[in-house]
Amino acid sequence: MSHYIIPQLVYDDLEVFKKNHADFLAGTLDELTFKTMRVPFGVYEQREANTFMVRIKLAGGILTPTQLLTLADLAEKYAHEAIHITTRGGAQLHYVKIEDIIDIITTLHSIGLSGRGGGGNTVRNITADPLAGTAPDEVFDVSPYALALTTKMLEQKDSFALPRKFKITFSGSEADRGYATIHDVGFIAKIENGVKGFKLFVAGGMGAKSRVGSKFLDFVPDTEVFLYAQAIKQVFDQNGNRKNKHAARLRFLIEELGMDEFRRLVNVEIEAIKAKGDWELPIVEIERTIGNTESEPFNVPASISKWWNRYVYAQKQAGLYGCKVPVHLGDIHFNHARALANALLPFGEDVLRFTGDQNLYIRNLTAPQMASLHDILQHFSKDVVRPTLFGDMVACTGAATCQLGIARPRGAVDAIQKRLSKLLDERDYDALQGFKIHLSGCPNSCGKHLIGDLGFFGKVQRNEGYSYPAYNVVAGTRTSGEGTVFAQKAGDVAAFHLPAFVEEVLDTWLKHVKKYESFADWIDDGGLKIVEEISKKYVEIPSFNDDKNPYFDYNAVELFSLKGRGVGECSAGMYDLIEADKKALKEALEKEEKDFELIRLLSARMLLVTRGEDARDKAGVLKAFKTHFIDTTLLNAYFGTMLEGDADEKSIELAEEVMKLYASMDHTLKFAKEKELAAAAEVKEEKAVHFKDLSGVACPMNFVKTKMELSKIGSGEVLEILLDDGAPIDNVPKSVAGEGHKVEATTKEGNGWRVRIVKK
Amino acid sequence: MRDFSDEELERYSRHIILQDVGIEGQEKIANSKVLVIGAGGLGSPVALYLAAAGVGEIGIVDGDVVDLSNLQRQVIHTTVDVNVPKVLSAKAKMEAINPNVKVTVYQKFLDASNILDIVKGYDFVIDGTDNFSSKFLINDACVLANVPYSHGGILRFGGQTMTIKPNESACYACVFDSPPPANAIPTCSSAGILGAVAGMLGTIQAAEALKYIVGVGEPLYNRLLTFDAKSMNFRNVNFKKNPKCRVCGGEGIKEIRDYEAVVCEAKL
Repeated sequence: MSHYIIPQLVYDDLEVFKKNHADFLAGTLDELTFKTMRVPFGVYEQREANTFMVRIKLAGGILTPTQLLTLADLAEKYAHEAIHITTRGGAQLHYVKIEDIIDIITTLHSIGLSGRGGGGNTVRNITADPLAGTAPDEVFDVSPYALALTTKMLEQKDSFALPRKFKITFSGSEADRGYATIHDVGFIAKIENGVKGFKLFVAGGMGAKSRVGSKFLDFVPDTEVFLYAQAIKQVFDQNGNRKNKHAARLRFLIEELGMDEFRRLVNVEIEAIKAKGDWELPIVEIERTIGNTESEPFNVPASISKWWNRYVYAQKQAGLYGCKVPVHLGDIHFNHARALANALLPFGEDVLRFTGDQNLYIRNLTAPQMASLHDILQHFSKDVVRPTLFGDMVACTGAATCQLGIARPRGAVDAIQKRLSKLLDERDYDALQGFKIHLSGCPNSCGKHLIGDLGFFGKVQRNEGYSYPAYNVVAGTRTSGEGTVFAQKAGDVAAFHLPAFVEEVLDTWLKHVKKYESFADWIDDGGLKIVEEISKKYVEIPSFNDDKNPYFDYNAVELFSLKGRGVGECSAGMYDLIEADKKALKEALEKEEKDFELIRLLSARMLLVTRGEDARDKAGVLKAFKTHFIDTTLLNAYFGTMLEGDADEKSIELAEEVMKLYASMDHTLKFAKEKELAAAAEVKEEKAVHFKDLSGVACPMNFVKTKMELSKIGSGEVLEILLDDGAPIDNVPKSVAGEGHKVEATTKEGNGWRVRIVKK
Repeated sequence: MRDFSDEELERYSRHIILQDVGIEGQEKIANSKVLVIGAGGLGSPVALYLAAAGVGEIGIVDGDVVDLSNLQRQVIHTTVDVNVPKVLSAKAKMEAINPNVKVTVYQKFLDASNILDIVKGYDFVIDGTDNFSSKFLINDACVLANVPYSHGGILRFGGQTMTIKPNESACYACVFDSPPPANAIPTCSSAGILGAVAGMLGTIQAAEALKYIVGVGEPLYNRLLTFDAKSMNFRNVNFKKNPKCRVCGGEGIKEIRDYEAVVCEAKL
């Protein structure tokens, strides 16, 4: 077996999805409902409206040359010619048209790949050590476990409606190349008393409130992998925070429950699963077609030795070699993918991996076979002929396509590489073999900045009233089954100066590299201070009138702004801006000789970003403030009078009022008053839908309460209720219908059901 | 619309689930006022069930104190209540069953001088008295005040009841005209009662009250329900409103007067 098995359940779900897709195209299904259908199939909308991305599960990053061929075909036909490798070793097709979605999914199914659980609040792609099955230091091959667990998880209905996404991985050794210590559930291979098994970590993750995983058990026998993963998933399913998706991941639940209570709940679930049976994970070792490994000793030709030394490694199996193919930003052109797939076809099925560092790995080849690929790989990306430093750069897609992005890290990577590539003859970047530079466009860690030697995540800075793209710098991560440490904050830099900053940090590190075991060791031994000092040189930019370039992000044709950015978890970038104005405003208020003009300007500007406004001059700020805060009645009209003419001491009142407003803002950038207004408007405009959450309410009280709610509304009005699975959903709708009301719709929601009732 | 608390929703859930009662019916019950006259064999089950059902205000009338011989059938009172005024004993039990109910006590016997004022304030009246003069007095008062009521009477193994909607259905006097002569009334030595029979009839009266309040079903209008617990035969005897009825007929009564009291010492 070299890939996971798609269960019937997924095919059934596809049939439903096909129908919804047709309805959506016909205009009879609304966008929001369709969204809830497509996201669990791994179909996301890109920042550009009506442009979609299809995410494909590759358990353990495993795919066959045949599958790669088909992906190449799909990329050519539907996806702007590229296959994208994700930061979790899956595949993505970008710029897909909505009409083509079903063709793509159907084709993927025909080659044994699915996007089910690719996105949304599901069990996500199960990953593994990129070197699994080949690494000299590994305890045993963990790939079969990633495959078998994927198959098993796809079969579970509850894998697709969790409180939030749920990520599982396997590492083959303490080096933790699968990052078990920063996954929701992470397994690290070990053998105890001759029994295969795993050290189990839980509740790690990066993003809002990044957290290193806690060791849950020192040893789980390999037969119990599903048992534990499922039990933890069930505890998450039942207790996770569904109301606030920003605090929903398993790491938040554990913080809330405490480890002891969490353990207790997991053990209860384990007993329940055991009682039900069918929890043992059947493991099928991966078959290998392996050529003659006892060939003549191979002498690497001088013409390819540089590449060989950088990227080819000897596997634990004598005579076999693996090779890392650096893929520039994870994008493979379909032509290159096709050429490689065809070249690999004769060598068997288990010769390829996509990996979380957005690269591609080739494996299980003899030395001559590997050498024969050199020419094909040379064309693969420009990184192939350069030191590993280049290919190891990771960037999320950033603001170019992501609705949450602040900065555009892909463009930044290009710029860094351009600068460093000019220095290739002067600098020995091969001495930095394995050095990782990771970039995220916002505080969400899609670019894994916290586990880069040098990491960056996007933020907004402002100079003379103009926003410009910038990055937080972090440095010095360590990954290990003995204790993973995230990179720590090491300053801020303007995006514009990023290449120069990286160059200087690397130059400095090159002077020390021989004295230290790792970059993290240097960072801990005074390096952090040095990096901080360097960053200070690169955070400020010239005035807008002198040089406008720093106010554009890389590959952007418009001035940097947050316009078009969706409201998401990474509103953090906006907070930076607001806090900066707030600080300035406070200082202005504390001065003896008050500059009322400045106070008025800062007060009016401080919260404008929350409305997507980026006004620059005074008149623009005051006008936008009036539009968004006075005309909307968020602030009393009295404050509107202060916006005209010269500012006076009344500006202080305005400042206080704006501060109060800010204090009432929640993480969705909504003010308390705004919510009241919205609620009032809702009541006024549509008596529409009344709602009562009756989950957790047993029979017959759920029916009693339903009747109570119905008695409050008028004939023809709609009541929606949430009911638990089991007796409640079996009985209440019948009883409601029995009383003459119309039960319009019953839809699965979380663990329970949403029932829509029209009162008779 | 009244917003029942969770406690109330749960307490009355078995009413609310009934399609014919529901939230609306329970709300009517909660907004209703019922007067129970007599806190004896009939008044006991009636008061308990009405309190349990959540009738908003219940008035209870009785001038007597609890006697040991009452306890064989007057189930609202207990042994420790002997010599306690019946209305106070009853009120305590009703409030214990359902603290949401407001209980008003009238520790007195009703007569022509006071009955009309009391009855006027209620939506429905239960006759749980043990003598003919009281029964006719109640009938007169309810007809005059236009308050519907449930008549009930028990003796030995039997009972009878009818529900009267004044000026619409036959009243007690339409059926019986006036109290029987003194010598026709059973002597005290022969007037025993099987305790459970009091419960049977009282609960029928309580059900009639609730039916009337909620507005469901067919009350015992124009028919007298009689039963014999020995044979357990139940009968409905139909009557019509008497146009020449002494009380509710064309001429009708204009004022309340007392009937001659012939009260059996045995106290039904």
